[in-house]
Amino acid sequence: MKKSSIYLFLSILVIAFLSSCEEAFTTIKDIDFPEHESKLAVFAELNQNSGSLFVSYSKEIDESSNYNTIDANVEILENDSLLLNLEYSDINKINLDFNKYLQPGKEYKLIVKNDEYGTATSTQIMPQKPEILDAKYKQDGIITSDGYKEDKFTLQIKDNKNTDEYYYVELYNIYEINGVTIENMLYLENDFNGFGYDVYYSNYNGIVFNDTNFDGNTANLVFTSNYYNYNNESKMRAKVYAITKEFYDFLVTYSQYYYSDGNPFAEPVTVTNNIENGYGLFSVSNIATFDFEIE
Amino acid sequence: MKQYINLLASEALTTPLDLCTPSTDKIKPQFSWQVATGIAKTINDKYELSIEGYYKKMKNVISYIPGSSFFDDSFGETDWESKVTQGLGETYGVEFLLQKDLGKFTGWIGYTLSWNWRQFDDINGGKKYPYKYDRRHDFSIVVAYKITDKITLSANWIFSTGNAITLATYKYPYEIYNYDSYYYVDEINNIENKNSFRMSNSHRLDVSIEFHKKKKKWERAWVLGIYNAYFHKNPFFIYSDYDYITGKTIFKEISILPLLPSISYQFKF
Repeated sequence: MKKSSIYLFLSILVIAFLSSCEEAFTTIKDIDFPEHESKLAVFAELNQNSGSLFVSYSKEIDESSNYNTIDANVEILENDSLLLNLEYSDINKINLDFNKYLQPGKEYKLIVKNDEYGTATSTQIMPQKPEILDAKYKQDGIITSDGYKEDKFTLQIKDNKNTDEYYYVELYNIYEINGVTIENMLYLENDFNGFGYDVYYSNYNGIVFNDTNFDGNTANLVFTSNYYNYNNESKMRAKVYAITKEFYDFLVTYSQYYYSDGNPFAEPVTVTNNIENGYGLFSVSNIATFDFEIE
Repeated sequence: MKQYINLLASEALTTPLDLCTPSTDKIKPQFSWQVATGIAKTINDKYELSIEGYYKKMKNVISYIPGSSFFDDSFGETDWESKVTQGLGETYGVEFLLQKDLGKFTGWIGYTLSWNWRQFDDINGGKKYPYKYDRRHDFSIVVAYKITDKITLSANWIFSTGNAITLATYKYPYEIYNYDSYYYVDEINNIENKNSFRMSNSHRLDVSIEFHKKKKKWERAWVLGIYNAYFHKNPFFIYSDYDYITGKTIFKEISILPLLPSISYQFKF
């Protein structure tokens, strides 16, 4: 063997050796994160006569996840008239009850004030109540693309023409205990409509979609679910929320964020925000319900 | 100008995987228009200097929708067309080139200063952001020296700005469960602006020596070369890790193809 061949062979051997050594190929990259100025984080989700409120604050990404209780003054205005004024001093989400029904078409403004983080605001207009024409539920009524039998939930809603509408749908099995109606939310999947997102955010576990595919027409939607008939009750309740574009964007981007969290191969997600001088969500939804029996 | 092949670039941190995808009945062909203007001057009959500025506007460029991944059935979607969205692109810049084509010593020096933007309704809250391959600076020197009629020595040095990457910069809770001794936080780790960080800049030196020989009917050449001669660790992808000592997230860049010798045989006829 010539000398040059020996050198070539040895060179290849060295390269192969280095290839098996992680340190030779790894560099610690110093990244200067911009300093984050903490702001209020507000989640206020309202419907016709109730809602929930959570107030906290933002942190730098590497800070601890222990948050302190925050004191804030919260006002909700209806067309510039005071609807609610409360002192929030909590760490948990609180429930809100209004002594009147919020009205479609009216403007609702949220103002949250805190001595340390300033004032955060947001404005929403309540959408019109959605119109549910029909709802049906059939056990083992559909065969999925994987060949499994699943329950079929069909929903018919009437959409308004020339306006952009955004919807969120939930399904419940309902029964009574001691005269109190209990709602047991059923898990919905959206495999057959070709649009919409499965939502998994807080108490929202339904499907969110817009009216792009049926603008101004009657929408016949098909979802799958599983119902185990826990209480031998056959009553169901469909809830359709008319939601604002900002709430729709939040639910879509939050779902993208939730389902891709921890996946190193997933594209980055920016969760949308409609709070000025803060983060979070202010939403005003108009909910229609439709009770029916299982087929 | 219409283009029916689309570059689908993954912008996930650890997937430096780009695909060329066709236009289909769901994916519209890419459309673009471009304007460019430049001047060129020959200096001393040896050198040529050119400066060119350009502006290009693109429509129907494609990108993955947020949260999706090439490797899984994101949100129940299995076909690649359901994982992509279409939007706008804009790129502009200036290119400088000084070249020498005659004599024993030839080569060129090139520098490009450029900006490359993307805008999609459903990415980054609809705000425009730098494209993954937004290269602010791109510099190259290529030189060749003919030692004899049979031996040519050549080298090139390349420098380019690192790829744009996206990192979460702040977080906030949307729900805290704090009852008795139980404390649990649901948080959102959010992004201020997409592609607002950069991987490290890349640069490398490649050298080669070429031995030519003219045969009766053809010409052959042996080329011995070294890619990345000074073993610079150019980043290929980046991933985050947690440092339990400092309690901070650290980022590690992984390089492939460090110093790489090569040998090739070429012939022309």
